[in-house]
Amino acid sequence: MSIKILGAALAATLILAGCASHIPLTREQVGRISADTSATDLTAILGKATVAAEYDVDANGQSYHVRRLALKTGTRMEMTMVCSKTCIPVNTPVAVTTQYLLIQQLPSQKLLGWGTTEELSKSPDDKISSIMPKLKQVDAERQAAAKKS
Amino acid sequence: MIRTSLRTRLGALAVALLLSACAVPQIYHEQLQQLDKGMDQAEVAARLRIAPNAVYHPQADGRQFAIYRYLMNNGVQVNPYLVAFENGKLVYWGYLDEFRRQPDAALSKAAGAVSEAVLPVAPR
Repeated sequence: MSIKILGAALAATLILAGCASHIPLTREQVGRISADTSATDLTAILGKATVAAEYDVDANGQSYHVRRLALKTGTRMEMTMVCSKTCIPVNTPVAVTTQYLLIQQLPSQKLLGWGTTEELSKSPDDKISSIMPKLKQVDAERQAAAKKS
Repeated sequence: MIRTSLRTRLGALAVALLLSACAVPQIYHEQLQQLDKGMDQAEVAARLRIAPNAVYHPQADGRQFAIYRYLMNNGVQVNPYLVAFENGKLVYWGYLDEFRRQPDAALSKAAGAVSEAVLPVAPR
C-alpha cells in the first residue's frame, strides 16, 4: 500500500515536472550576454528558453526587434494532493520569474539592450529608455491579444 | 492556562505587527514597470496611486532635484524607495544603492545627501 502511494506521488511529480512547457531564462544565461554579442550567439545563449513574445517596434524613427522571455529569479514549492485510498501532499518546485526583454536594432540586429522592463525604462542610455514607452505599449497590446485568444 | 494565554498574546502580537506593516502605504514592484523617464510628477503619482511619504529637495553640482520617498514592498520586506525628478521630470527611480551605482554623479550626490533621512523605514 505504502509503495503504491509512493509510486503515485513519484508519478505525479514526474508528470508535473514534465508539464513545465515554458522554460525560463537563467541568470547564468543572462550573464553571458554582452553589448557585442552577435545575433547568432544571442540565439545560441538563449538555447531552449521559451520566447514568450517576439515582435518589431518602430520608435524614434528606428525599428527594433524585441523578444520577451521569463527570467527565473527563484523557486517556490507548489503542493498537490495525490490520493488513492489516502491522500498525501506532493511538493513540486515551480520557478518564480520576471519578464525579461532583449532589444536588437534593425536591420543590423545589433543588441541594443537587455533587462527587465524596469531596468530598461530607467537605463542611463537614453536611446534605450526613450523607446520603452512605445515598446511597453506594443507589448501590453500583444499580451492582451494573447489572453483573448 | 498560562500556555494558552501566552499563545494568545503572541498571536495577537503577530497580528498587530502584520497589520502595522500593512497600515503604511506601500508600492509594489509591478507598479515600477509603468514608469518612464520624462514623466511629470502628476503622471508618476497617478501610476503609483499613492503620495510619497516624504519629499526632499537636495542640490548637487548646481542642479536641483526633488526626491520622493516611498516604501517598497518586495514581498519579503519593506524598504525605502526613491523617485527622483529634475525640472519636474522623472529622471531616475530605485533603491538608494541603485542611485549610488547609476552614472549621473550629481544625482548620486543628491541621493547621498538625503540618505540619512531616507534610510529608516519611518522617515524623519
